Amino acid sequence: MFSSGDRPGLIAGAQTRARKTPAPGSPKRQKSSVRPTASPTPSWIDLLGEPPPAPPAPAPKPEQEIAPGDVISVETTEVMLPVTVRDDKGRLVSALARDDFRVFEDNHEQPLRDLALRQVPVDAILMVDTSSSTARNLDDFRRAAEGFAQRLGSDDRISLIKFDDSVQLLQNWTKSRFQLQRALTRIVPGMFTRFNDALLLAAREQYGSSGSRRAVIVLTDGIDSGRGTTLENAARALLEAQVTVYVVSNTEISRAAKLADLDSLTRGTDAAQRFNKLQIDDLRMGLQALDQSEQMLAQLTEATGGRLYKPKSFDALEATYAEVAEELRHQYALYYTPQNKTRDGGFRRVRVEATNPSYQTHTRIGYFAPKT
Amino acid sequence: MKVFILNRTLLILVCFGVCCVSLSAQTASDGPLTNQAVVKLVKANFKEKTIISIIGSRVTRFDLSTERMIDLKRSGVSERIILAMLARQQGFDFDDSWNDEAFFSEGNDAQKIDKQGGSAGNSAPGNSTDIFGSSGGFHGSTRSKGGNSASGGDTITTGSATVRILRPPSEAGAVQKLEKVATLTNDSIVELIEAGFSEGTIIRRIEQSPVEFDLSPEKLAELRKHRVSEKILSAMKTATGDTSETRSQPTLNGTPRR
Repeated sequence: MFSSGDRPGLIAGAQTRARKTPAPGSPKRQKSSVRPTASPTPSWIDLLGEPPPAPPAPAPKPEQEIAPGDVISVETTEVMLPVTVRDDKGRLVSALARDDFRVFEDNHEQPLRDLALRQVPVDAILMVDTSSSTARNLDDFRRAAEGFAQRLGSDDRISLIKFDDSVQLLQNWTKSRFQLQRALTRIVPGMFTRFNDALLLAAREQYGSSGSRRAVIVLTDGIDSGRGTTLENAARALLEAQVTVYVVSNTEISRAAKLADLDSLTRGTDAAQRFNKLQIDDLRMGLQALDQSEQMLAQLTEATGGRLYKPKSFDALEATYAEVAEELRHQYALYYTPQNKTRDGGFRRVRVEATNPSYQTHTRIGYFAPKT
Repeated sequence: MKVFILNRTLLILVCFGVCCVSLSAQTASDGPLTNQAVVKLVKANFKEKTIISIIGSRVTRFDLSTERMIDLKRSGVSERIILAMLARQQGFDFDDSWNDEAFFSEGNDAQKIDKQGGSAGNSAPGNSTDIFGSSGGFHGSTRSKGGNSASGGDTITTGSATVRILRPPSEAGAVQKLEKVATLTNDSIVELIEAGFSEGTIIRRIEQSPVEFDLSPEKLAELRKHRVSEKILSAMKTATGDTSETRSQPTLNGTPRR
């Protein structure tokens, strides 16, 4: 389990705590009331379920007397939510203003005066699974990655991570498309798939305290080789670091290939099928694994506010990555100051709505509050 | 039908062989080959060729940052072995084209690397087979005699299988570290030169590394003072995307010329 106190970039902007330092000799002040800290740290899958009912509104805090000479320091807390808005035809909507949004935290609407929209560059990690499932199509990925980089803004930064039996940072943050191009030539195929480790390490080690929007775009089938961390841990780290995950999954491509193989094997005579039983069973297990993986990937992208793309062929990678870039360019960075200022490390469920009911908004499911 | 039975028998024998080899492989605990392991092999007087062969056949986890490369050289590891380590880390097959003479005789270095990169998909370890996490092969022979009916025939099948089981090198549940490919700077290049690395090795390193070079006129002059050759400077410029001609080259008396 992670300690929430050392999470990098948990809250955009300054860390928050209202603190009052009594002036020397001033009478003892009444303690301000603190909301109960019943904030469990559920697993990320639990977080995808229905939100809990709205708790009763907190009792108003007793007003504190301020004596002359008291020093009042109020540190602002801001949460940044990357929000994607689509119209009823699925097109990206990009001309909304602050008033067009409503933000709910644990089912409490946050005051409009605390909302802000800002232009923030994106720090995007391109991650690629270099195990055997994608190894033959790395050139397609290289082209797609270059196209993706071309579509980003000049202030956006990219880094490149490949994972197989190891997780390797091939290029640290750069705005140079040329350096990215060079880094892409350093990708070589390997064995095994440390997908969960790669996500966790990207979340923990690549994002410091920058105020940028954070995105991971990963090409993989999502089937982890095991022996590393769990997807649950990885997802938690991503939520803690406020990273949005876009998965370009090759599960659809693998599934089509496996189904074709299975079809040809099961068309044979009974004897041939008995002979090929091992292979047939293996294909069926592979298909099951792909289904399970897709479900997990869908949950992961849903939880982090990203999207799961399932191109039908590697030829479609360029178009898919272009779509991700387009989404990032049209994403809103919505800031708000939470009403709940308790520093309990608990999870705060967040919901964003557009005032236009025909618009669909998409953002991460919440954030972890800092812990004192 | 007879062929079917023969095939089936052969398959069972192969599976048996695979299981036996798997079990024995599981007991062996070969960790990844590290810098330290290579130094040990050198100190144990293994032949260069043998060490290169070991590097090519094992799972590796080398640290080839500038400092570690210098450590290797100081520990008596030859440049040929270091080049083999670099090649292994990059997923290329190491052969004689990686030695300095062959490297420079071919002229266009960048194109050569691209070619290797293009073939890496076929030659890199781990990509030679579709079997997840293992590679191997078998040979067998079957001879039979008897009547037409397979059940009535006398079938002798012999076969052998060799399977190499590879597992993720780290222990279960352990999260690995994010391996960072070292970024080369002007200072790294000077360090490599001072440690006695050849021009070819340094250029290889530049071509395969992220770089953050400062190639302003002042820094170029400084690099030249540290005996950084024009070929290396040219590689540095290529790596930074600077395609302009060398802006100034020293003359014999040290005065730059256009």
